[in-house]
Amino acid sequence: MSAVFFPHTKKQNSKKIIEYFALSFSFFALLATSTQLFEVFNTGKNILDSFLWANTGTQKLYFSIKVDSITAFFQFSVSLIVFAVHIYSLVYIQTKKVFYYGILGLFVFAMQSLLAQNNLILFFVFWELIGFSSFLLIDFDKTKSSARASTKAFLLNRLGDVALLIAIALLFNYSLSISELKTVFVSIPYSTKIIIAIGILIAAFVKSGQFPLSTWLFDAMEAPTSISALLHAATLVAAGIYLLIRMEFVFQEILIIKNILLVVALFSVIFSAITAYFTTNLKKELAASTVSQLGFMAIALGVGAWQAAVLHLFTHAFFKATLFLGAGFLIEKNQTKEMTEMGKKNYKKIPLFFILYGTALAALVGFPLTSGFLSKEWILKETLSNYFFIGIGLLLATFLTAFYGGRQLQAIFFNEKNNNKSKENKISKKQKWFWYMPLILLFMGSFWFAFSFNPFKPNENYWLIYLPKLSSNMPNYFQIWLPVLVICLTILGILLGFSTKINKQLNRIKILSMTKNYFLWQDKFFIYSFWKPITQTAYFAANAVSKKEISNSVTQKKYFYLGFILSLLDRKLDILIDNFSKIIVVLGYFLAWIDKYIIDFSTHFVVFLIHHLGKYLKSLQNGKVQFYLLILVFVLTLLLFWLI
Amino acid sequence: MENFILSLIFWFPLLGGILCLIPFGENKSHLYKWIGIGILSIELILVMAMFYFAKMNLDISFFDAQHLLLSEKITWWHIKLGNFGILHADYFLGVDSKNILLIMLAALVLWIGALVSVFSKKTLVRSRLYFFLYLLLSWAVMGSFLSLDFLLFFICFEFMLLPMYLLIGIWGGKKKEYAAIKFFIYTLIGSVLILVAGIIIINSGIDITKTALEIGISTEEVITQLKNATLNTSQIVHSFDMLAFKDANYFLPNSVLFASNPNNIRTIIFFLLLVGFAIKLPVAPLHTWLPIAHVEASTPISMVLAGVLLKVGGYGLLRLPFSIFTDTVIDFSFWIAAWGVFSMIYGAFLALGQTHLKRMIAYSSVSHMGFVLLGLAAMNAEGTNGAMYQMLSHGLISPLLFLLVGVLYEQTNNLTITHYSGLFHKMPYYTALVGIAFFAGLGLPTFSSFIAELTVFLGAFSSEYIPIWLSILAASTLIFTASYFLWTYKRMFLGGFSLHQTLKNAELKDISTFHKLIAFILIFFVFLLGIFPSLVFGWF
Repeated sequence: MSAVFFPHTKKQNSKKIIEYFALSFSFFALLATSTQLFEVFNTGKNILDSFLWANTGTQKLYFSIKVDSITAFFQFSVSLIVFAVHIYSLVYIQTKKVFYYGILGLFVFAMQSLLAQNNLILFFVFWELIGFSSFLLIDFDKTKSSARASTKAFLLNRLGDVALLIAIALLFNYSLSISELKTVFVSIPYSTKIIIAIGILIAAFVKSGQFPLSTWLFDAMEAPTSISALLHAATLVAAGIYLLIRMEFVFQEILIIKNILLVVALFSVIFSAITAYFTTNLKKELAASTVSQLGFMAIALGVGAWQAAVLHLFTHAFFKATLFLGAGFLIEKNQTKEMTEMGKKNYKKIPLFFILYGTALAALVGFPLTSGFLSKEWILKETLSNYFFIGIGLLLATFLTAFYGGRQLQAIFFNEKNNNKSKENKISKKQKWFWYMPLILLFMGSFWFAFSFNPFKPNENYWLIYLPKLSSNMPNYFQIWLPVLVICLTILGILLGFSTKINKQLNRIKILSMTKNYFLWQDKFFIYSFWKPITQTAYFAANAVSKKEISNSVTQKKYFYLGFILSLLDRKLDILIDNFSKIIVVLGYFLAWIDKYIIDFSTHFVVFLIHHLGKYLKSLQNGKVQFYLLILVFVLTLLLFWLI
Repeated sequence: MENFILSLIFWFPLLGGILCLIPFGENKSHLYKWIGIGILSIELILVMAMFYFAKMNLDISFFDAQHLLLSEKITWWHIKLGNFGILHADYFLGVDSKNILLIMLAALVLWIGALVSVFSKKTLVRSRLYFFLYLLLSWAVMGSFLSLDFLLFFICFEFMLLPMYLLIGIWGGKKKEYAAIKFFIYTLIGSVLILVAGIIIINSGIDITKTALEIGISTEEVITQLKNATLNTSQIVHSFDMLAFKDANYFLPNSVLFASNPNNIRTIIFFLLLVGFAIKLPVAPLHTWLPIAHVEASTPISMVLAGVLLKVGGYGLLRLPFSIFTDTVIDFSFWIAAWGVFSMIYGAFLALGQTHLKRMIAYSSVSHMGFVLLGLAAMNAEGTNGAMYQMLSHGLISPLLFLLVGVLYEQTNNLTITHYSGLFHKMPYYTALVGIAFFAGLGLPTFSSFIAELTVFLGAFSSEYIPIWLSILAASTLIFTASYFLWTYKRMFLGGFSLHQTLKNAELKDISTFHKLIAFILIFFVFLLGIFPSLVFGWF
């Protein structure tokens, strides 16, 4: 068995069948991936398979599949989450089922194939396909804002895709196999290496929504929540980190790019955590927290502890999927996305849900005994021992995570006021277990035992045993003090975040509350520095707009003149050619006139002359002998004179 | 049948054209439509048969003396011109890896174009003249792809203009006369450049095999005699054979085009050919005939123009300048690539600014054809294969785009992008098909355009003549391409439904079954080439 393929769910008239068809397929996929997981972990061998796909000329491209322990566990966790999402969708999705399950199938197929692919070009194919299917899924509602969000997501992702394509095209001459690349990479010239590293960095950061390209991720919350759970927990954004994990050696070799990666990722981590605190929209808060957590992974990669990044990727996938699915439940129940309007004292009303959601939240903030603590503490340890200042920044970020986590806990479950406007409860009792089942399935992944026996030692992880061991150069006393420090910071953060007074106070500080527009700034940056100038200039270049029609603003004029210059080769050239042809036509008329009145006239004149001369001479032939004699004498005299 | 299949393919459309001349009477004008469709259907079957024979020959590696899979050759001209030598032309049809897929494409697109002309909602007026011209065009297109003799090639190449001029000028839109004359003059200038270059090439070259045959000695002896300048000039055969042009000893030592001659004539002739075919391709800034021709032409004519006629330009580049003057190409590789990249970016940029849907697609054609030039300039296997792939892929995708645009145009007579919004809510199937076409256009994987663009980039990045920054610039076009396709898609098809007030009375219906079927045929091939690239790469 090599890889798991999700067939496109076929279009059928009976909509109910589609749901169960898709559900059973996702269940089979789950079975298949778990079998694969056991096979890989029992034998300790990778599953390899390849066949010839194309021969572009000088090189042969192989469709090659390689399933190692990372891929096996990743594929398993993806299919587990997908299975949960399918159960969830039974009650969550009520319209456009054919479209929904079809595209979901395509998406999952692309993601699973991406994870198993060893050839970079085919990796790129699936990389783009997950972007494409997320474009379709984000625009599920077909409203104006969802159209905007999906278009933006695709275009920004395209930027990353092009960067990745450039990197791949440069690697083409060396090797396209991901597993072989590590040995080949050393021999590539340095200048090429830098371009490759930049390309990979941009591609990964766009997909994982790091600064300044995270704006699409925030807007992508227009998608149905079940999709958000899938896209922003385990698959789409994780693909960026997955690329970095596979390419980590690139950054270990090129230090400049590595430092850029660290700084940008830290910036993303801290700012999106602050944004998460000030965002009241539940889904958007979770999106911001995703960006923050992905930044943790990127930093782990940057400091060389890619095993820690792998672990955090797995733990994050589970607890974030739980959180998103839970958020969908809350939103559906209360018909609002605002956290503060979720109802009064929910911890009493929905205790089971409180436990499920609370556990996942605890894992997010890194509470001890959760999986999140395990991976986050590992990242902190490695960062502090290698890059001290980045590590300090991460400690701050840990505190901030707890801070917004605490606030979320308070706002959702311990709200004293009932701000909810809609009274009716959309969740019927009958369907209740359809909502809870996926959460129960996934929240198990928030505990430490899903990953390691020892809740405090991430190194003793059973899913990473086949990866090379990370040798830590950390001083011994820190091994004990760091967990204590982290726990203290977390508890402090939760307590402070829990306080509504602090929240009110902080909201009053303008500079801080302005950071909640952190994503909006990025959006504006892209729109005003790229999109607007380019489209405006193109508009002026392509269309004949008179100068009077444009407004007097300086910027528009700038675009107008630039557009004018660019239109020189097109419209203006056309006008020139048209005028040239007019000149030629006029010249033709002129020549015709000359032809008619000058050349023709001269011939006519000669004819006229001869005609009249003949008429005149005719009169000489009058038949009188005396007249002829007179002429004879006259001519002879003339001849005589001439001869003499 | 293998022996005369090429002639059959070549002459069959002309036969149909002659059939169209028979007067059947006023009330039987539908007969002409059936003649047109019937002839082109048989033509498609014939091409498939040719494809089958060629594939069989390829599998057993059976090539003839000139490395062709199938060929037919009959002497046409053999004129002794005293001291100049002997002028020789053949009726020479042949099929090799460079043209076989393009012939297949041409037959398919012409067949689809005929179907669309007949079965559209708009009734076809003057169908007799229309199909006469259409079949004449098919003949010329097939001829220019099939013929390997320069004389025959040029006759067909030139002859394409006449029916196309009339097809745009009679069945076009408001400014059809202007568009037609512009198309005609632009392309005519290109042809003149090609003719001049061709005459000089033939004048200064020698067909060694034919000379050897003429004198009755071996080819090696001819070469030695050439080097010692002992060959009698009156015995030199100047032939129109395009395959002979590539010969290493083709140019006479005392001619202006001889490789080691210290003059620039070689470069000039190369650029004459390059510009001549670049007009047809078209490459910016020689493209201005294209948008207006597309906007004014009717849907099937647009499909044929974009799908087939532009490919003749690319094929000509591949067959003549880039295979004869390889040393000149290497010298100017950077500039040719830069020209291609400029065309890509410029076309994409102007497509971004368009407010007319059909114009936008026309500019996207300009942008996509820039890839062909870039791929050819890379001068390596990947680049050339990529250029070829791009021609095939664009030959399938652009007819699809024009077909779908035509569906909307039939209903509202208005293609202004900003006048529509949220068409999804009224025409879901149409939106889905346009979505497929647009994503195919922007080069999404699993569509043929992705393989094409990827291969061109692989060629460009690994070419030793093209600097990396230029290739990076070229790759950035993909963002532009995505921008204009997706932005248009978002504005017209997504979001809430609304129409401009001038369109308030328009009744929008979803795409008809016929158009759906035609679109499916094209989409099938786009997917086929996108998922199984070896189907194409296997020929090279």
